[in-house]
Amino acid sequence: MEGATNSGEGLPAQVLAAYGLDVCGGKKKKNYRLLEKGRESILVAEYSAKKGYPAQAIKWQNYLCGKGCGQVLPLLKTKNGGDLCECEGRLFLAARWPEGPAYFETGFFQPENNVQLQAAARGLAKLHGYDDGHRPEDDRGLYFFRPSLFQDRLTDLLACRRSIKKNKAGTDFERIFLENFDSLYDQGQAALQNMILAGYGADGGFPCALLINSFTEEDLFIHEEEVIYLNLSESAAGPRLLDLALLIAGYLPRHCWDAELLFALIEEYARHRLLRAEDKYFLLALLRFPSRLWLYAYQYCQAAEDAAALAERLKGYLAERYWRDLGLSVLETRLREV
Amino acid sequence: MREVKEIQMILEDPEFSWHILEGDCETWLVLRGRKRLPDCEINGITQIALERFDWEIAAEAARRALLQGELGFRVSCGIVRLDTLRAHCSARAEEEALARELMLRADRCGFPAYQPEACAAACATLFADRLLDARDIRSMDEDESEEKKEEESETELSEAVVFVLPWRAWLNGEGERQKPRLVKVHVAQTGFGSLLLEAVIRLETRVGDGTQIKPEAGTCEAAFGEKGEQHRFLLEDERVLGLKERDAERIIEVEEIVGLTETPVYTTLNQKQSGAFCLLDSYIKLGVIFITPRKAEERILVAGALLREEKSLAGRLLPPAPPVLIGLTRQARNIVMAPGNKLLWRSETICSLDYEMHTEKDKTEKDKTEKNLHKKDINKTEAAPATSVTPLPLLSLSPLSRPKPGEKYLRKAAARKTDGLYVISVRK
Repeated sequence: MEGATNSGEGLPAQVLAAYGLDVCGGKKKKNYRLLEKGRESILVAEYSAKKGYPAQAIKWQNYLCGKGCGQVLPLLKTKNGGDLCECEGRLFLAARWPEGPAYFETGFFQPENNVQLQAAARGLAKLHGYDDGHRPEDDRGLYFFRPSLFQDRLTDLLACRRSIKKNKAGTDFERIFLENFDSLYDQGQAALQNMILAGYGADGGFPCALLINSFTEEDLFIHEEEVIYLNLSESAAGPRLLDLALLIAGYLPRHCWDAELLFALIEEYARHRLLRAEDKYFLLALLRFPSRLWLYAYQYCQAAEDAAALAERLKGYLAERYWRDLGLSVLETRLREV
Repeated sequence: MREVKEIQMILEDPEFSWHILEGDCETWLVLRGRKRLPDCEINGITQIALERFDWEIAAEAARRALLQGELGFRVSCGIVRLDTLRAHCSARAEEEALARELMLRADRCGFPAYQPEACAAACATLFADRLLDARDIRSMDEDESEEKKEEESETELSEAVVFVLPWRAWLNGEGERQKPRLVKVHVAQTGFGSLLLEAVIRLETRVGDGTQIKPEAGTCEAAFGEKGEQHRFLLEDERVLGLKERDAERIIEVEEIVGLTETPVYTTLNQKQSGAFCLLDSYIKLGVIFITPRKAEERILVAGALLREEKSLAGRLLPPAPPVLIGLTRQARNIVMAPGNKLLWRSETICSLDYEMHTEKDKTEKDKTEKNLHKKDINKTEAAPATSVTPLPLLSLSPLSRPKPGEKYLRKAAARKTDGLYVISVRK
């Protein structure tokens, strides 16, 4: 992770004025700036205005803070009473920083740390627990989950394979793709079947909620052994377990899909939020789905990425898959025993 | 300048576990095998050793023999076990998030269409690929001592993959049968943990020099002795052969030509009664076995084409009767690479036309037989066994004069024609 730089520069004067800040010095990390105002520290997050920050996400954050959820920071209001400030094609949100300025450099999430990973799973369960009274509004832009979408993604993979076969594999990426396609596709099919069997059918009869949907290291902050989720801009709607699956799939590779850790994360989540047996199988299905194979095929067909680099990433995925399958098979056995 | 005809050869799909290219007096076999190493990544091919090369004649027929055998190779390659590849299990959180984002929102933008030109622009492969001549392949005995030395020096993991390739093929032609010969071996990494082995074997029957053609059994000279007459001509042909895939317009590049087979399929002679003009029409099945420069995939490929050769033998003094036998003997042939990924094929063929010559005595006997023949039932004549000894009169029959098409009706119409008027009869 990049270190924080001493820079409050680049922050438009209108933003400082909107939040009543008269300071310009501070620290910057990724899209976050920590500005010092007397004894207080203010965190200013910057987003692209083009991409936007969903109004529903702000509403959700305010709702969670109102309920006393400690997993998100309460937003500061602008002088006009707004939740965000738009300036020069950028969006700015401000929140009160709960720790001292020194903590800005060391307090971010470290996924190599098992305790912090468990804290992330726990925090997620707590956040989801506050969520019961808050249903996502009927905003089609946020509703994206349908099991049939997974089926469509498998169809994309099939079509891609057919095209590559027709044109004869000419690159290393294509060769590796064809070599491993059958087993990965079968895993996708099995995952899809398990999703349906777990009750996440096409009829949408599964509980739907707002999701954080982004767990990059810089967006998670550790405060008093709990995780604070700083970025809700990627939030979307769907089954809550999508969040847990994304957290696990994103960081368990660093632990070589350690079955013990995997089980501990699920248990940690389940301790604060009930997980039915079907939910666990749904989680397994999500973890088994070859989503990164689909991503690489997508990027390859787009021809936006270098074919050789993509081939290397695909190799990495196959190596990781070895560990993933081992870990998930142990987990599955333990789930049966439980 | 002589015009050189160009024809397109069609590439045959690589077949597993063997691909046969059968020709006259020679057969080429491309043996192919694939192996997948579980839970490891191949990291280079270190050695290829010939483990066994057995063969035997399984069956023999009149002019051909069925040969069968087994070819064994041991390929040593460096490997990296997946359980040691912890380095690959690095940061994936962003990729996972991107995959999620795109997967669940792709219904809005759609999956991009595969662009072969853009995707295949980077054809260079990092996979190992080794192509060896037979003389460069070591046998197992030679290999063992070398291997011991290497085992001492190398600390990297290596795996020996054994390929056993059984084969069976017919070898056509009479003559001295040669020992099957290994010509080329190609080993390539074709995936994360997949190996491909291709080996070319040549089966051959050595025949005498084409310039000194002796009358073969069954030819007119052999059957009739002095009564036979043979006319020989040297036919020259030259063609440019283009190569393309069956369903695609992609041109195939050729790095090296390994072999060529020619099989006469059909030959006929269109001869005028006077013998003044002859047109020799023959079809030849041509097969080329070659090596492409594209690595990490099947490189030893086979392409074929059906050639039609039309040669005019005008101006030759040939007997008026059609020949009893038409023989084509390849005198010389050559195939070379030509600019623009094309092949240039040249051939010199001796065409021999065997005629049966008749004396005056034969002629009177022939006339008698002809008369008797007209009396006989045609069906009975046709039912005669094919193996019956030389139906001499039949062979020497002069071609019957055929009426012109519609001649009979034209004659009738002419008879009915009176003073420019036609009689039309109407039936009820």
